[in-house]
Amino acid sequence: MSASTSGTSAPAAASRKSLKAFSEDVWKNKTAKINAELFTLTYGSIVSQLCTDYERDFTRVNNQLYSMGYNIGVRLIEDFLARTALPRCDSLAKTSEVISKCAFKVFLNVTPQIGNWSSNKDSFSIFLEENPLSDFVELPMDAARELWYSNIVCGVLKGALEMVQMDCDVWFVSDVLKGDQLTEVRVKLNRILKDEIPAGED
Amino acid sequence: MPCYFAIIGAKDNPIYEAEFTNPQLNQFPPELKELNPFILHASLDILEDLQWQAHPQSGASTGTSGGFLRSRSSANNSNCYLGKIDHFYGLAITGYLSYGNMKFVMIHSGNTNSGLPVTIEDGPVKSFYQEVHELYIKTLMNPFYKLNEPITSPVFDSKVRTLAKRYLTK
Amino acid sequence: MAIYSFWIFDKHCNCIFDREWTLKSNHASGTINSKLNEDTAKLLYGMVFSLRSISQKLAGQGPHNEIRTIATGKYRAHVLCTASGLWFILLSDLKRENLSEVLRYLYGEIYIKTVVHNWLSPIDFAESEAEKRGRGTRKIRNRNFLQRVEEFLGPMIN
Repeated sequence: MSASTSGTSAPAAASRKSLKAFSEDVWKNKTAKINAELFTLTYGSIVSQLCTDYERDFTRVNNQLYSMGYNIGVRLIEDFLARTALPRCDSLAKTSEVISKCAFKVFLNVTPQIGNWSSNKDSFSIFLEENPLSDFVELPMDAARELWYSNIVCGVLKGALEMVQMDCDVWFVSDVLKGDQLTEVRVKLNRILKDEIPAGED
Repeated sequence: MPCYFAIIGAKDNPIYEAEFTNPQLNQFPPELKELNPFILHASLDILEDLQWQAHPQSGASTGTSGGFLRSRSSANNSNCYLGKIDHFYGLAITGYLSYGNMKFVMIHSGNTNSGLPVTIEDGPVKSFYQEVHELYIKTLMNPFYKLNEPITSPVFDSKVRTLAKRYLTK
Repeated sequence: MAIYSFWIFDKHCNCIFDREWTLKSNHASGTINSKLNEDTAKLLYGMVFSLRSISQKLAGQGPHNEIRTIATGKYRAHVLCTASGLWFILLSDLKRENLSEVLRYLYGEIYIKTVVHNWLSPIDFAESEAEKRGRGTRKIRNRNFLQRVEEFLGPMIN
């Protein structure tokens, strides 16, 4: 009996080329595009409908957006992995790089900056200079304090990271829609989840 | 010259109004100021008439067979501008009609003392309307704004006023 | 050249799809999601699981050292393990050197498009703790998935 193994199979390409060029290629050649206005309006109508349905209880709207995002994230990660064939990351720094340069690029065609690392390197911030979800949006007065308009992003990240065994907290720190200087999403790694092993193996 | 500008919704309901004045120039006389909304509303009928005419600029009621002809004549929105549509004593009224049937109308006042009718510089006025139309579309894209509701956004207001400074009350 | 069977395992160590062809001449032959294959599935899982553990240990702290193929005297097992914990396994004869493209297609074009993108289909097949860690028996039953797997792999079985 013989066995053959490989370093990461197909996407060794990802390490040879820079991650940026690699993502550009995935975005260009393997990604179906939709009209930006259609996308923005679709998301906008969801948020504004949720605000109406929940009688402008914005905490509930935030939670609902988050859980919708979570459900998207757990599926989107498979799509992402199939497209990029990336292996699991060795470190959170690598993860942050893949999120900004690859995931955001492929799905939203933006490359946010990563920064604000905590001293023990278990949390970082994603700074969205551009946010395609919130083009045209102006928050109404009553929503400006509580509503995190793009909260779906946090849910997506949470769901996607969980599927690659990273238990994280993801939340918005600030949003230009609320008059803040920057749009900042915080990601904190709680722990790496253990892969399951068959019953009786431990 | 001072101007009074309003956006009127498809149901003849006011969506937005603003008065553009310039400290160095005349203001609307107080007694006239209150009349402005009425004067504007009175000219809506004319605007609606023009809407269905083939050549709104000519004013002649020829070619009544066509529908909303201006929308067919070109792909850009240059034919939304109707120019001067009405006058009221020394005041001139211009209009602009979006394809969604939003009416943009404005009262232009001249120098009250001269007694001469106001002359409209079509170029800048048209540019003003077109840019406000652009802003209006952006407002419409905001998921929290509902069609035909008053525009309360201070950002919209300040942008319109900036445009007015650039094109109208120089 | 022949493909004998196709297996998918999820991250709960459960076999969520199996397809075995019995007659080379007839690509409609064989079993789909068969109860009879449960033991084979467990053995296959165990083999890949053990080899994976060993290969990871051998690689030390270096880059990922994933299993690609395992060959015996008569079979070759082609393995694709995704970062999300899914395993796609094809068993073929020895003439098939490399089926990684086929596996990627099964994952990226068939599994993703008929299961993951189908919002009314579950993607986590274990519905409770008791169905995790290899104790679950739920399978992928989407018609589109089954049909496309047949269309794609059918012509390759002999």
